[in-house]
Amino acid sequence: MTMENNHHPLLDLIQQLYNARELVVSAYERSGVDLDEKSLRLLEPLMKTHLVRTEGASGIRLNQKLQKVFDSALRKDRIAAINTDLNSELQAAELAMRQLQDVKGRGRYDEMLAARDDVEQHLLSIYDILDDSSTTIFNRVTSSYGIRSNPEFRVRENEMYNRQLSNLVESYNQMRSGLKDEPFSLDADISAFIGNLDVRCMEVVDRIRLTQNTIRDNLFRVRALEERARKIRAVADHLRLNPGFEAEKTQDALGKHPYFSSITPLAVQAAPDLSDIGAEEGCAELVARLSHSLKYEVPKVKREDSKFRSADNEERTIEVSARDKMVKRMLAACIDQGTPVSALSFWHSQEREPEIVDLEDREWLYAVAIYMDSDPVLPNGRKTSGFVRMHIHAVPTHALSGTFSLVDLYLYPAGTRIETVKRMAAGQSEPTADEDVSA
Amino acid sequence: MTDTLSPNDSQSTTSEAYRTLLTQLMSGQVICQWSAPSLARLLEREDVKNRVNRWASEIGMQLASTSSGAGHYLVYEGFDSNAKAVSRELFTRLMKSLRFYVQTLEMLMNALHPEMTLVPGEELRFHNLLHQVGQSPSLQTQLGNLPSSKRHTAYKEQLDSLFSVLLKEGLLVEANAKHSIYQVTSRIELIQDLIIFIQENEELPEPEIDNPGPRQGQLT
Repeated sequence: MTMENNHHPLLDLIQQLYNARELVVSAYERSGVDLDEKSLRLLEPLMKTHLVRTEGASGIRLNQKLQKVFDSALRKDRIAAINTDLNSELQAAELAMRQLQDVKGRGRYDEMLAARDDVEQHLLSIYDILDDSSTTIFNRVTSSYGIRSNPEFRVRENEMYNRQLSNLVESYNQMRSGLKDEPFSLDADISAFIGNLDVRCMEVVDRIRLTQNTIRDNLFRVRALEERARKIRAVADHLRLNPGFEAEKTQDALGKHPYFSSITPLAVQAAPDLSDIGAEEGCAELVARLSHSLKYEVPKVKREDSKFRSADNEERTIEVSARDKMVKRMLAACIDQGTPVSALSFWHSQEREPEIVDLEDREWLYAVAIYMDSDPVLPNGRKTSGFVRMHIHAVPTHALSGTFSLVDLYLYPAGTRIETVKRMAAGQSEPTADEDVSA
Repeated sequence: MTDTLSPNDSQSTTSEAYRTLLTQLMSGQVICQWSAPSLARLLEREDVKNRVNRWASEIGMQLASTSSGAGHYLVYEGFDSNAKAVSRELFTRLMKSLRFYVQTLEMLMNALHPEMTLVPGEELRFHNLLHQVGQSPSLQTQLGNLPSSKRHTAYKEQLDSLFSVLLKEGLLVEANAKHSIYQVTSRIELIQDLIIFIQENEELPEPEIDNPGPRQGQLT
């Protein structure tokens, strides 16, 4: 081929692939790219030749055949294949050893050195196989490069490495026993060489064991992840079949998982440092803002009273208790007479309804006090205290005790002087501790 | 109790990063090397971990870890009435979201690797997932059934909405915004731990494993 005269179009294609090399890698990995004008210009010739195709708004992919070409090139590095057969090298070493013995037997001392070198080279080859193979797999197992996106494939790859390493160690053990027998044991120098080699090989075997442990750990981890996946799927299946699933047994075991003791975000309340100049300024601003916003009174909006509009509304009649009826009668008597009325005198003078026939004097007085304290609104819209007020007549339990015993209550029309009421109460008992409790 | 920190250590642990670490823990965050790399590195130091634990124990708390030990969060020491009240609240909150979490994990596993759970640090490529969903009607159905998909009809929008929720809840972090590559955090591992805790307590039967002898495609 005369490349100087005829410019081959493949050269252009390779150049175009090179110019868009980063985009081609993105297309190979299908990681998505920003297809700006520059990218499109670089990709255009590759698209015309159908080497690259667009996929959605930001996706590009390689032609399947090109993808396979790259896959096959990169896969060589991705999956390590090692030589696990040390037997062929052992046989070669045996042959060289017999040649050495032959040379020694014939007394050809000039050829003996070369024959010994030959044996040693074969023995070193055994070490090289062990070392290279174990290093290759060690690097593959400990490196995360490669088929990380497909865990299942990764698992199978690891399983394969584990098998290969086991075969290698088995082959090494067979070879080791072979090296201790004849013809190797017949030469003292070779035996010494084998002794040294054995020490170096043991280091490699240790590395193989370490690699195998790493593989087993990885596989164990994968098995654990698989088990976790099955458990999550079990919950998913159960939720599909039982939409109202409440996990009642779990509720009784919340103390067994630390998450259920985990803290919920804590609400933090901060107090400003008032000695700080910044805080002072902040406070001044706040005061100015508040004084401005609070300066103006918000106009009150008067709302009309609500009314029941529906005729269907349920009507409720609240029955007045016998106790309240009696109080109201007393109030009426007070207003009618226009003079103070003793609650106890009124109580004893009236006929009582059956519900209150057994009511004690003290209970009656408390009933009157509670009614007057509540100061109910009368039908005319005014409060009871606008018409009638109450005077409590109490005496101290003993001098200076500060505790008083209730003697009687007086209802008197509003406008009556309290002294009149007090005098009336004092006419019955001395000394008195009077209190006006105009409601 | 003696503080074993050297002057330099002490200086560094009282730094802004240390304060941020405590603040994040107090706000209920799960600290891991993917959600907060610098804080996780700080927490990897034994002296810092001891110091955080000492500080936490003074307010009745301690550090807890996710099942792989990659994520750390703060929990109450002991299981007293205070912790019980919190646990009931957390359980109620978990049960409200359980269906969403389980469906999401199932959908993502189906799309990425059906036999294994997601692991903290794992990369999720939005475009790859979108491609997977586009190829599979069953994944489209699963995605469409998620509560996060209710307002969207196109599966790209549904996936967008799902990723937004996962980012908001701290289950994912954005590893490469330009290429829409996300990483799984330890919070997702914690969610998985809780689902497994429920499965074990309720003794829910696991699906049977298909074991058809030697696996097809086994490497030799």
